[in-house]
Amino acid sequence: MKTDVVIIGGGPAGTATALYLEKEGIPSVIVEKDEFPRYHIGESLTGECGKCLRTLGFADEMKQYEHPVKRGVKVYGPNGKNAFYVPVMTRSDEGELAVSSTWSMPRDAFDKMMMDKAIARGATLVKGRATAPILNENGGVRGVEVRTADDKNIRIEAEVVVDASGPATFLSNKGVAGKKSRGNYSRQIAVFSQVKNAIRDEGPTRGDTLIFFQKKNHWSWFIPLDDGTVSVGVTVPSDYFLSKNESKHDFLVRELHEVNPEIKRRIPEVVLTEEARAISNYSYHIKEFTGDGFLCVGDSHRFIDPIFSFGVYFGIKEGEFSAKAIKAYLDGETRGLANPFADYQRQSEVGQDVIQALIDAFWNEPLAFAFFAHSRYKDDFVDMFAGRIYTDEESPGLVAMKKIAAGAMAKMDSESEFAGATAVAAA
Amino acid sequence: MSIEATVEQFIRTEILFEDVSVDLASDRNLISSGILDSLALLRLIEFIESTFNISLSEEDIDANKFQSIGRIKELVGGYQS
Repeated sequence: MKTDVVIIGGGPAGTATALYLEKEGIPSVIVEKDEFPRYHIGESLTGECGKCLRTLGFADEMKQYEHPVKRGVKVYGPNGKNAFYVPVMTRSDEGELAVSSTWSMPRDAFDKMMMDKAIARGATLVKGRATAPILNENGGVRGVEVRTADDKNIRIEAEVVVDASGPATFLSNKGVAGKKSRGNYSRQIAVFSQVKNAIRDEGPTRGDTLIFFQKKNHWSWFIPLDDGTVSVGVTVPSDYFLSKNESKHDFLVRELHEVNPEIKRRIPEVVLTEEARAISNYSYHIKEFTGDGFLCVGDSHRFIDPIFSFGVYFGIKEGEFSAKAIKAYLDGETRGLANPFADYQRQSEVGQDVIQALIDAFWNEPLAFAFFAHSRYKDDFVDMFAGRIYTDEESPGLVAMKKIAAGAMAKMDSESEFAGATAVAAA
Repeated sequence: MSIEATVEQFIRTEILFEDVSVDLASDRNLISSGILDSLALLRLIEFIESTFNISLSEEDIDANKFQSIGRIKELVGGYQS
């Protein structure tokens, strides 16, 4: 089988790549091992992610599925009383901030919706598992070998291979992309499931994402989904989880009543309606993720921390950037370069680095973070939370935040005891 | 009014709501004593910037520097000299 582009993985990063390629008139083949729909974590979308979905033509589907409209994120402090709120806001062409909204989505339905659209617009789905990259004599990637769902080995030859394999980090594992290094939040575990009959806000904030903070690296989420279902999870240091010696189910049920008084109030009786699942060591970084004939998008090269819901957005946005880079390559503009996708890599890292700094500052310099976000650089922080993170010109808020994040990482292990308690303060 | 008196008055009226029983000696730890929680601390920082017309550097937005009225005086004094 021969194609211009083969995409390994049919999650949002892979299907967004296919959809943006289709806009450029470039056909693609998607290799996906799982039968969709399938469960996946990561339901909350940023403001700019909503904008990408509108650009890709999903507005009608999103309305039709009646997915909860998310107008902001509320982060509760340890006592469950103080909270800060970051509204989803967009910027007009004139640069004015305006109230906006995005969505939260059960990922089984969301990922299937994206896959169906990609196929409807001309992408070819191959059901199977990528087993090895096809390399030319210079080590350039020219396709992928696949073990299909009906147990055949096939070769898919392509001009470009897109790794959208998520945490499986296919090309890194095969030694094509760079080595995987630990991220700053790698010794964490997230335990999660879904509940019904939780108490949501009434009115316009009903679909908002809620974060409940206990102390550094110990927090929980509450993401309203369809049908009265709420996605809930607790994120803690792995050592803490192991010390409890409980099943994932028992750990989650107990934690949801202990992590923060406000989430306990909202879930008076915890009855999990999904299997309790866990992901550990989820924070990693592959620094070299492009090269001759390949590039990685989304989680296949970096995942920082789930707290501010950037996972799907990175996948989709990098899908958009990758399609442009692939078009330039196929048109011959970058074909002679040692790394034709170096600009794509740089552009992707600009955004990832902003969110890395945002999360480092949040966890390690909570007072300065709160002061900047609520007072001194309020609008700049609204921009960052929404996902307007790909500008080469850094806002004053971003410059200040990078400074405190860098300082914090330098003195990492010597934080004051007060730090944890001040991470969240009211606006 | 001195820096110390200005800060003391703000804490007394805006944070303690005129509770005169609370000791606000200049070396009293405002944080470990629970007088300043995270919300109050943010309000205090905003008050200090606007009242003394200063812009604190990133390094100075550090809870330790607001630990007591004496420390706050040192911090603000540094910007005024």
